[in-house]
Parts: sequence; C-alpha cells; structure tokens
Amino acid sequence: MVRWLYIRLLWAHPAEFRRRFGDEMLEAFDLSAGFRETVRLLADGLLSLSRQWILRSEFRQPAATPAYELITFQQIEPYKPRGIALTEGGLAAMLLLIGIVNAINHGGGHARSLPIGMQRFGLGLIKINRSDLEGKPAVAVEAAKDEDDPMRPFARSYFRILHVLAALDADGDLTISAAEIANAPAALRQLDRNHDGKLSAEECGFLPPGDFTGPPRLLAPHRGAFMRDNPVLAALDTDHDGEISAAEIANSPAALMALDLDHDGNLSPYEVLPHPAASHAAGIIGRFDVSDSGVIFIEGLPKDDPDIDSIRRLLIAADRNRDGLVTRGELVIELASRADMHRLRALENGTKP
Amino acid sequence: MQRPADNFLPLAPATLHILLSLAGEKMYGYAIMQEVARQSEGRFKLGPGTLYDNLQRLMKQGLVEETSSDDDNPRRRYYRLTGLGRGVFNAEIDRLRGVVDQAQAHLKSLRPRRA
Repeated sequence: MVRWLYIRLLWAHPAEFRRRFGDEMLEAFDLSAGFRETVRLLADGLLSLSRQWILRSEFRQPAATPAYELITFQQIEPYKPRGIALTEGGLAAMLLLIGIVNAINHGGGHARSLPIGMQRFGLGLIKINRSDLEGKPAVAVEAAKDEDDPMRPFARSYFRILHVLAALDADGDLTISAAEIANAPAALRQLDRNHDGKLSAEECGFLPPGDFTGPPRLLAPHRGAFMRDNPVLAALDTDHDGEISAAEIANSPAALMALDLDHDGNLSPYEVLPHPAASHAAGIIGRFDVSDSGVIFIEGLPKDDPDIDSIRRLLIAADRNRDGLVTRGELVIELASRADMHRLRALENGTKP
Repeated sequence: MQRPADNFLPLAPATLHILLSLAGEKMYGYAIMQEVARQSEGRFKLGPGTLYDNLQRLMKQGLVEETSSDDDNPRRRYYRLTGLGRGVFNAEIDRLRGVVDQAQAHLKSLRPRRA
C-alpha cells in the first residue's frame, strides 16, 4: 500500500524527471527498511514533487510539434508503462470484475444467472439440457404476466357475478379452457337449482335492480337484456328466448366455441366480457398476433393487409408504455375510449350514437 | 583571478556531500545515499527526491555525468564527476579550508590569556 502510494507520488512528478529518475527512486524506496525510514521517504517524495513543479520549470521542455504534422492522436504523457505495470493493472481489473460479478450474482438473497451467461465462477458455466431445445424456436417472446393486465380485476368481478362463467371456469383462472368448454354441459346443469332441466336468468346470475318494487312481470325486459348483453349467455341462448334450455345446455360446447375469436381453443376474459371493445380487441389480437403470444408486435405487422394503416395507427395509440408491444388490456382501453369519444361526439351533434 | 569553478560556490550541503561521494569512484543513486550517511555518521540523510533533484541540476551544469557500468541491475545508473565537477569540488574544499583556517585563527585570537 505504501509502495503504491510512493509510486503514485513518482507518477505525479514531471515526465522528464520521472522517466529519468523514477526507477532509481523506486529502487531506493524498495531498499529502505523500517517504518520511520518509509515515512521519511514519503515526506521526501512530497517535497521533491513540490520542488519539481514549483522550482524546476527550466527542466520541463514542451514537446515541439511540427507544423505540417496532422495530429490524429495525442496523449499528455508519451511514457509507455512497463510490462509488469500492465500485468498488475490487468490482474487488478480482472479481480475487480470478478468481485462485481459475484456481488451481482449473490445479490437479492438468491443466486441468479447473469445475462452474460456466468452463473458462478468455474469452468461449467451453463447447464444446458439439449433435449429441451429440440423443436422449439431459438427465441421466444413472453407476454406480460396476466397479473399486469389492467382488465383483470374487472374480469375477476365479472366472473364472480355471472354464475355461468363461475361454473364454467372450474379452476378459477379467468379462462375457459378447452377442457372446461368440453365439460360445459355438466357444469351448467349444476346451476339448475329447481331441476327443471333449463337455466333461467336468475339461475344464470340475474339479480333484480336493488330499488325495484314493481310486479315481477315488469322484470322481463331486464331479464332479456341480461341474457342478451352478456356474450356468454347470448351465445348459449341460441334461440334468444331468455332461457338456456336442456338442448342448449347439451349444445353448449359448440355455442361457446363461437366466442373463440382468436381460435386458440380457449375463452379468455376478453372474449367473454360484455364490453364491445373487449370482443373487438380479441378479434384484432386473434388476427394480428402472429407469434401466438397474446400480444401484437407493432413492427411485426403484415404489410400486405388492406387495413394495416388504420390498424397500425390504432395500435400505436394503444401502446401506452411505448414498448412496441400491444397487450389486450391496452387495446381494450384504447377501443373503449374511442367508443366513448364516438358516443360523446354523437350526443354533441344530436345524432344517434 | 576568478576561476570558472568559483561561479558554483558556495555549494549547498547536499551538493557538497554528493560531490564528495563521487570524488572517489562512480556510484549509483542508492550507494550515494549510503555514502552520504556514512560520511556524516548518520547525521545527514539524503532522500531520493533531494538526491536526484541535485543530480539533475549537477548534470545540467556539467559537474556530474552518467557513465556506463557492468552492473546487472538495469534500474541502476552510475554517476561520476566531470572535470569541471572535480574542479568545483576542489574549489569548494579550498574555500572551506580557508573558512576553517580563518575560524581557527579567529578563535585563537579570542582565547582568554592566563594572567
């Protein structure tokens, strides 16, 4: 450490002096012994440093540069470090890098792999099971987690309120899977509380308005709207009589598949939510999600689609976080806001929305 | 009549000790420091900064020059007195001798006489 300090002192001397006497001064330092002697040499080095810079200007000659020479690179000191100095510097840099890599690897309480591929210091850096790589694309794009979806809380409430969806979504993941679709008849029959073989609006989840006090017959329009405005019920009630008959229950898998706008075999919340924007978004996702990842990569849009210009403008507006990827949630919000704006303009113009 | 060497006088103590060390034989830096310590019986210790500052100036003035050696250590450079340097050193010794003579004579004149 003290030697390093003395070397730094020597380096601070004027270049001419350092080149001429630096090695000899360092040898004298190396040959000295004892703490007092070391301190004395450090003080002598400091004194020499100030003396050289303050009193010995006559020994410092500026390097003359020919006027005709084009200066492409210039350094303050033309001194070339010795080989041992370069080796020590390289070793120190490597140790520093290893320290940083280890600190990053062991940060956060658990070991993590680094992007550069080093998991821990050793020869076997990465364990690869090559059988996992067969038949899979080299690069996979993962969509954002469902938990990040802005529409998910709304979808969760909707699935809880609508008894049919709650019965169909057996695992509660807010997606009606292919297996759950196939099991739809059995799930729907569990809602038949009066065992009449069909499902009324109430059995599907209809509740009269809280302030309704009129005769029961006046609820018929409300029941009809309930069965008509919820996409799943509208799809199941194929004859639109306000009830899901035994035949419609038996035919429910085929009826539900009609809602599968992106043809992935499952019904996502966006395909069953009542807002038209949701089904609109599901259709767009199903049409332009070429990687089947649930998001649209704006730069990857097909150029030969006739609607591509308007779709591109829509997606750019929907991409609120400007990451180049449009999720279903972003698209629904954009479509819903456009629909609301359309209604507002229609009301302002006195036309029918 | 003033000699060329007289222009360098008087010498600073460090310079005098360096010239004295090199008066006998060529030496490298650390050996000069050791020799100075030996001459002064440890009372005067020359640091590397002071030594090489003086050597730099003495070489520029032409009193000391670097010389070749058979030393295997590439970090060591040997120095020796030039003719001018030897002349300056002798002149300084003469001056100091004169100072000492004067001092002794003066002290002798001040010595109290016994009644």
